[in-house]
Amino acid sequence: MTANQPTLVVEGLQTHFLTKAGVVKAVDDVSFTVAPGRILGLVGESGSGKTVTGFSLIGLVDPPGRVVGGQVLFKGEDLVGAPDDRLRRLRGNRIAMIFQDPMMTLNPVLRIDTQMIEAVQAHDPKIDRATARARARDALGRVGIPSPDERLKAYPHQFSGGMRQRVAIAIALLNHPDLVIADEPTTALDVTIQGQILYEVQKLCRDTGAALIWITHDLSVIAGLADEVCVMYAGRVVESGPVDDVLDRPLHPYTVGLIGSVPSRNRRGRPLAQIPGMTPSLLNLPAGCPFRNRCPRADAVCAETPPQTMTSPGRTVRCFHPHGGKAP
Amino acid sequence: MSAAPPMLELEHVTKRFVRPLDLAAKIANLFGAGLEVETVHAVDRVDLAVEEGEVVGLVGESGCGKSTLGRIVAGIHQPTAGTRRWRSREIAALSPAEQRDVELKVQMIFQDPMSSLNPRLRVIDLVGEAPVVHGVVKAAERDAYVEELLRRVGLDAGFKRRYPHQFSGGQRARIGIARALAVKPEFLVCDEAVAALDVSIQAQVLNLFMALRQDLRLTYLFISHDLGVVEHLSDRVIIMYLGRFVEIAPTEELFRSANHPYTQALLAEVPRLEVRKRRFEPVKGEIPSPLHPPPGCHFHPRCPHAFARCRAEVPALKEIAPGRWSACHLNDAG
Repeated sequence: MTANQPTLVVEGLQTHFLTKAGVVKAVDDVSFTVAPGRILGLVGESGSGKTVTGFSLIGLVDPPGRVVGGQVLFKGEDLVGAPDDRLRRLRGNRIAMIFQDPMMTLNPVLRIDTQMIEAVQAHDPKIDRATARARARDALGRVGIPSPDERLKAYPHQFSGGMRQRVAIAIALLNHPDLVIADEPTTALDVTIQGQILYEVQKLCRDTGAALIWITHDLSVIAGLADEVCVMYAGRVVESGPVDDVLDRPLHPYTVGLIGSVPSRNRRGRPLAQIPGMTPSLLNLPAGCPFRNRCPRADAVCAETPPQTMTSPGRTVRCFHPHGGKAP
Repeated sequence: MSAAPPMLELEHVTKRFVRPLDLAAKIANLFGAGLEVETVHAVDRVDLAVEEGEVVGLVGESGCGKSTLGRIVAGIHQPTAGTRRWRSREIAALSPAEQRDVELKVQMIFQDPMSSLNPRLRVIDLVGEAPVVHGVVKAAERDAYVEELLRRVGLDAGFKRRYPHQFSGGQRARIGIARALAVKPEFLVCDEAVAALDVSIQAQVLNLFMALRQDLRLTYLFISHDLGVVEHLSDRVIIMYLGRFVEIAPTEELFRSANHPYTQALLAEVPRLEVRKRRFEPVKGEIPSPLHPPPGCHFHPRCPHAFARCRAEVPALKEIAPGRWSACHLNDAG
């Protein structure tokens, strides 16, 4: 792998759910790039399509959902339409996923060591049990689980929520993946435990050079963790760029509203700058900017044409009337 | 504190949940199994005084007993020991009719509106039943009263014939608030009332809480694990750890200079928009089980400053500055 080649390039990804009631465009023309050792934050509210984006990358979208367009280039190889067999060899090996609920990853009736050894041997049958076990033990130790040798023999229910998430992360990192997709892995955890997990993840990224996509609804976590950020709304990336740029000089009115909604020290006791209304239903979304009904800057233009992505160096925005920029 | 008596007071309140031995365990004990009754010390000798018009934030990790305490305040749980006072009168000593009046004055808003709203009732019944039963409004005036309440919490009055599943999460939270307001309470206990909501919806509901506070002169006990939310709303913050209060302070002072090591660790972990690419330096370990709390100071196994006395002696909650309380032996040393 050359230093310059990005680990993942997503171009115009479209995932639609063909339901009886109509087409739900859960992911609609999403593009981003992640380089080795970098952390990309994918931020959005419920229903913005951030989780479906993560699932689409590794072919985990179930019918009636389908990736209907775009490219997912993992180190140059297009994963859209790749055979199941190929995807299975990549998943859990070169690309790993961490889910919000670790019980989704862990089998409740198998011991941790059984599951971890299986994950190692599934991708390389030549490794013998003892070596696989040693690797599992090291992985548990690396994510901060005390006395990993004893804990290997435990069942998932014998761990607390934070410990379970660590085990899930350890399993994801077993085969030293090049890309880790983390879908809200700390949302259900207390702040102190979240701090511990963020610490481990950050360290592992720095040490192993893996690229990380961190999907969350929490802008504050992204602020502390990510290098780049994509803000999603109604299935589209409305704004992207380096974290400092996007959070300090947001362009899209939705990003501005989202940042204003976060309770913070300097606005104590005063009303928060709220966004009126709520996320639109993605079912048969009308043409035009999906945010226009909640947007203070919307006018006639926004209703007619879907806004195009406009690129300034390293940044994109989908808006006719961005903040801080001149109207095109 | 001021001369006026506090609106609501708890004195030495303790709540223990006990699982008695079942028959099989008792028989096993006859043969020498040595099984013991399991006791969870959810709340351990806590004193709380809330002044009229105040917003008190109660913060802690999951399992620290903050919800149990909220339920004791709201009168849903009876404390195992200790007294609860409303405007300096002991509630347990009041007549049943007076007790009923007090219970109506203190209402609770729950975290998950889907499990606290009956899915088979329409909004009009959910919100309108209690005020009619308690004689706040006459049955004939119910519809108009409910419409007025819905408008007050920012919902369209035309929604009154709908069922809970026809609403979004944020709207359901508003219905929960309307229901609590229906019996004209003076004190609201909000247990993680915005935890399940998206950021933009959470901001709307927080603004609603603040507007209601002004319009109806409400007093809040705001329970949350989210320090950002508590900081934004509260006048005073209480930090709870494993059934005990470890620190009480006015909001600004607490966030400027926390005294207790646990509060300091907690504050350090809060992700903030202003803090970029930080190195996370986590506090070690997890909250211990309330079944077997550690002796002495409950925080000592995770505390970086712990010394011998912390392992043996429970630190008392002491006033370290006017209005600021902390339970830590370190305050005695220096």
